[in-house]
Amino acid sequence: MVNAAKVLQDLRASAERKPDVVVRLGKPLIDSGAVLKLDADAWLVYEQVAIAALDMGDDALALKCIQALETKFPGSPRVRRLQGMQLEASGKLAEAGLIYKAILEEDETNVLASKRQVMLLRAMGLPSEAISALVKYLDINYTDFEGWLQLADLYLDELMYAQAAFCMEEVLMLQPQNHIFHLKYAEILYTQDNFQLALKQFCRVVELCRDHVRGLYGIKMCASRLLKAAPSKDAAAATSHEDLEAMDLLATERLIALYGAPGAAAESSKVAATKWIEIQ
Amino acid sequence: MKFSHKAYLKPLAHATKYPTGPVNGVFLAETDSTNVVDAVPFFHFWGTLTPMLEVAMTQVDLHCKANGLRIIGYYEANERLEDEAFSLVGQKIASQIHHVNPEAFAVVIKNKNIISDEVAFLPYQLKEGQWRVSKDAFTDKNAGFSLENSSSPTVVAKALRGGLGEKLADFDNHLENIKEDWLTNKAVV
Repeated sequence: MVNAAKVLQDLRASAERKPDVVVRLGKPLIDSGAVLKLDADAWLVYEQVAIAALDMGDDALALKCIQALETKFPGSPRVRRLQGMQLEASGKLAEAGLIYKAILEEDETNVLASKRQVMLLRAMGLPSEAISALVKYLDINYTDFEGWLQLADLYLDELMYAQAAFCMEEVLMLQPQNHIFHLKYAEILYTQDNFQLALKQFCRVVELCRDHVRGLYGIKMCASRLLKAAPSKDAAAATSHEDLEAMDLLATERLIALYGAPGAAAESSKVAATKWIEIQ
Repeated sequence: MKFSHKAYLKPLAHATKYPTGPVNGVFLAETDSTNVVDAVPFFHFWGTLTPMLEVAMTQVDLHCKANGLRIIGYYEANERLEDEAFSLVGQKIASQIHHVNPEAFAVVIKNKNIISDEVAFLPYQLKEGQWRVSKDAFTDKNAGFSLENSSSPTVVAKALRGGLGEKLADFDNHLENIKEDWLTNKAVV
């Protein structure tokens, strides 16, 4: 039992989502009542198991946990959020929305309720409502990079690329070393036809993560677009023709080396990639 | 359009592998017929961004030319279970395919039908500049869309329940690990 409690504690600390493990370890603790021996931690376990049980579709277990928490902390916003999640799990989206709304009316800084509300609005197919709820949340919690990332995704769903790019700039200020975020920003810029800036971001991806295939393809796409285009009027900001050719060549060499390594790729992939490189 | 077993299986395996996000890809036909013989899965994240889509389209085109095939259609599955609408980005991509090949069609996957004996393809055709649902597809009333093998839905549902979807690779997977065989997906057929 001590071991189970320890594993559950570690999972809470790492914020990893392993609902199957949590339910498997937590259910016996709760069913036997042994959970109460954990003192203050008992209520954290109840909360953790409730969320995992909802993920796994074990409604009876979730309800048992939520009821125990409700008895201990009547009317607590944290418990009401769980009740909202339970309503969501059983398809009662509108009722769940009312709970989150009520929590936020009492305390607009409640992080958990804000995030649930955004997810709910998105799931209900109300993108502009989800966007305004998230913008309101980020006004207060502007250092939450995951929130900015989510907002970027909501804007992308609506094809609002300029707004999505702005969100990614916020993400990169908070998380400058993550190559995936540079990659996403690069692809948004490319989609906006901003090949010059996209190229710089794709280069950053390859700098942070050597031989990143998607980054290398990105460099080649930008370089070939820029080489085909007329010289930019803003000559000072533009990358020179020679530099573009050098970057293109470097990306080509790496791609050929990667695909050329024995057993690196299926024959069909290799043939298509090699021809693609030739005609670029 | 007559779909081979492979062409029916791959899009559904793709949607099953990524149930919480939108997915998309293309259908391939023989150069001289409307037999849809294969499908190539493209993306499961960032479906609305263009650079890797351009790479994927060109590479599939090269793959087709080398194998006597052509791109004949586009498919997508939505993130939300009950959502069977054809996305704006999807319409744009399908229209580009249609521009090259006037026979081109699109399919939105009916998420609810994937693991069932019902056909899970909802075909769209471009008529008077608009993508419209092709009514009564896969029934006797509509000769336009049929399955080569009428047992495909049952067989596919069984295979997907057994976890076959996990073996499918799309272009996103290939870009993370070039070993992933996105063009032919030999592991699933």
